[in-house]
Amino acid sequence: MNKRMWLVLAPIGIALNIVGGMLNSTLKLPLFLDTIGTMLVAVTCGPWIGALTGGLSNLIASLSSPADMWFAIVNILVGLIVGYVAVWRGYRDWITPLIAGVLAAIAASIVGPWIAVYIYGGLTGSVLDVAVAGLMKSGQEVFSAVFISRILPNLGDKILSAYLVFFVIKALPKSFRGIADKTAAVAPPVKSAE
Amino acid sequence: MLVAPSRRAEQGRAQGAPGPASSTPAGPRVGLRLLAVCLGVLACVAAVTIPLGLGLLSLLVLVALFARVDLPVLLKRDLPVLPIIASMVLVHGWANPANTHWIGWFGVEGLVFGTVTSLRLVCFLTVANTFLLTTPAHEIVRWTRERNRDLGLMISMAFTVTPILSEQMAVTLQAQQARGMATGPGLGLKLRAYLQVLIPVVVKALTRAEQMSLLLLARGYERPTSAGAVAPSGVGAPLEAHGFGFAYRGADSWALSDIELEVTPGTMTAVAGGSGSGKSTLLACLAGDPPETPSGFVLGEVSAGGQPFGDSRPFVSLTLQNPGIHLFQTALEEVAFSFECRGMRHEKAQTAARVALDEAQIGALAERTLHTLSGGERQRVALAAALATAPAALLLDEPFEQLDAAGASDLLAQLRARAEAGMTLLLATRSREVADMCDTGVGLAGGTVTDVADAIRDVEIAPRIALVPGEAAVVLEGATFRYPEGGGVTGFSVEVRRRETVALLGRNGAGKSTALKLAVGLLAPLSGTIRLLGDDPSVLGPQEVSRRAAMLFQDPDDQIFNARVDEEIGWVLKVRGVPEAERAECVHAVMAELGLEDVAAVHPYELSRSSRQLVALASALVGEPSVLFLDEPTTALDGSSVALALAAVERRRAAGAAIVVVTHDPRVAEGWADRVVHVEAPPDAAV
Repeated sequence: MNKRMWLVLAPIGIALNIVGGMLNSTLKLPLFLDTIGTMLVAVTCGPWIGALTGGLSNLIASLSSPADMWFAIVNILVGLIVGYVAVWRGYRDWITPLIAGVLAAIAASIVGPWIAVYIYGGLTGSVLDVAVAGLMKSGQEVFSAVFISRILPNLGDKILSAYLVFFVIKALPKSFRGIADKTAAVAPPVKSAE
Repeated sequence: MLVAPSRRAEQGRAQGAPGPASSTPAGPRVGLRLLAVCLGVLACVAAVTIPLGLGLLSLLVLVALFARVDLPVLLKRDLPVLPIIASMVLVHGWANPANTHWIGWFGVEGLVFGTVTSLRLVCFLTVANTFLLTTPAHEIVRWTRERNRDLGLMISMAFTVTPILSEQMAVTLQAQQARGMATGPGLGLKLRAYLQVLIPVVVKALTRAEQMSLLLLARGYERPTSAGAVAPSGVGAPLEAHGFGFAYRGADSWALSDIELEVTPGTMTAVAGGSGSGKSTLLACLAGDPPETPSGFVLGEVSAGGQPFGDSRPFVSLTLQNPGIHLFQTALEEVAFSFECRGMRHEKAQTAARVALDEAQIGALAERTLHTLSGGERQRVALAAALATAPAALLLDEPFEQLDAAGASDLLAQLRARAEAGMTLLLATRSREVADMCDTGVGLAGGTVTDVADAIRDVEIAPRIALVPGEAAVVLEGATFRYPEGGGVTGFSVEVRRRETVALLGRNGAGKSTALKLAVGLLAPLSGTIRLLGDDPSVLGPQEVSRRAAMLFQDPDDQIFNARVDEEIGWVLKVRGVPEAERAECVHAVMAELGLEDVAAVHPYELSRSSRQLVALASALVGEPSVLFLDEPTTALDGSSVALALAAVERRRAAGAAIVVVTHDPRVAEGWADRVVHVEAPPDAAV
């Protein structure tokens, strides 16, 4: 991929993260779906451009909500993991999104709590705080409480996001699929005899 | 029915598109020093109690920035999260497993931990908000660009495309609702709706990315700026293509084949052809998209000034067919970027851009947000940006399409002057009139060179059938709707009967499309009465409305999301639960009517835009609605397709349907409609 293309795809991915999250709210889905752009760029352009998209998304979001800044690390990891899975397997079979979603969810559930605990003391002002507080009250350490409360929502959100990206890739014309389509033509079409 | 709240997708700005603000920092206000002292004390406490010196850092930054902070604004930003942060103290006090000493419900250890954590958070937020208040976003972008050009450019472009894609999402949501998309209540339906909106948005976003990448090339980004590499302004370079061919990666055929072309400096040359003939691809290749591009495969050679691809060839600039594709938010930034690509520093580039905009007589647009300008205004900004790079040759893709008569005349005079000064000009067009205005021209059909006469077919519209109108199908009485940002319709009335075609005419922003959206219940009127076949559409629900009426949006790409043409056309029937065999029969019939049988299994986005418009029309016709709303149905169509589309609609009218068409096309308004109704812009409409 030439440099001009990834220079514009990262901003497009950032915008799609925001639009994906907005659409999620508009349709009142009980998810986040705010890493759609990161995953889409990662599976079409590769892990590092995906990571760049993820990191920049949070940095830009932090201009209006500074607390989001720290979670850039999670978004970077999501881009890297999904991108490397796409490099490894393409992104055209039904199993790959599951692998990518599970790995991304595990990474987010491990790194997210470190950030949540160190920066926010484990509570981030979301509805998950109720579960965190309940688990802490039952004797769990802060980190364990945050990890346990986040793993299920993360698995649901990341696996669904990965499958939504899979359906989007399936619906894209071949020229847009990038590395997601390992069967894409690597040779020009044969010229018909005039 | 879900109703997208605004054509400008207000949510986009509210939720996450913090565009570079232009507010200037204010000084501290007298009387608020006490609060300042409190914050300072807070930071001191934090400095003492918090590990890793974060608090000390907070104090230092606060002191450094204090003189410039508008404290009430800072407090306003902090306030919404302060109750949450304060509640953390209590939650930790209640739940912390380390609690051993209790005061009522709360453990002392947890309260201390919660207090320390909350203080740390308050400090962090105060520092971050202080920084953001004293440093507008555009300053941050500028600072970044000065240190890392690529990173700054990406952030700028993210600010540019976010509101555009947000708006696109709102439009696509409306388009799919108009086709009967269900949005709930189950998770499965919601996820399906999510995809049905997301896929067209992603395709448009990726198409936009390709075009933006081309614009970076056309601006000369990454190109050496030494004098030797760039021809002086006004000195042209010949453009040549010999045995040239290009195939997009993954495509089954060559987009361009055996192209032989010579364009001499000092002339205006036309490349004329229909939609999908390869004009835009040829222009992109001539602009210098290098042969190793992953987008496709190249045969033969193109050159500028005798040099093939590479940095040493004279600079060739380009304006795109869609002036809505741009890199930056404002006209000033867009033009200044061209100068920056030529090695100018930011401030000088801004000054030069103002001069260039004044010369192009659009100085008043300098600070305006580009995506809120009219197509014609954006076209003029795009031209100013293209000319600012002092190109040896300029390639223009449909430069007159968005302009009114006066604007087209001005542009023609400008281009003539450039050609007389020696610049090489190549215009892609599907208009015979534009081709005739040029000094010379070649035709392009199916990716190969041919005569202009063979490449552009004249429109032949079949004579209208005289019919007696039936009962009223659509009634709008005193309908009023206002968008939050201005515009809409005020007291608009129209009645359309069965077997009647009514054309709505009016300037950009007059509210024509708004009237259509009111008629199908996508927008709810503030006042007035609306009836669709006797009922209020806003209470019918999307499924019932889509049975009665179909709406063709202006851009076919706002709604297409299936991977096959026949699936896309049949989707409306699938939503209604029509059995597969019956559905296939209906789809086959409408495809035959519009000449789409051969592309039934093709991906819609691999077709030309004209063909995609026919696919969108077919998906509107396949349900045999009683009312057809058509928003600019002919703008994307080639001559032959116009006749095909209008004939198909005319057959529905003869069968008893009412037709409402919004158009700028005089062929449609005067030659095809029974009546023309003028829509007047409300006083605050952005035109």
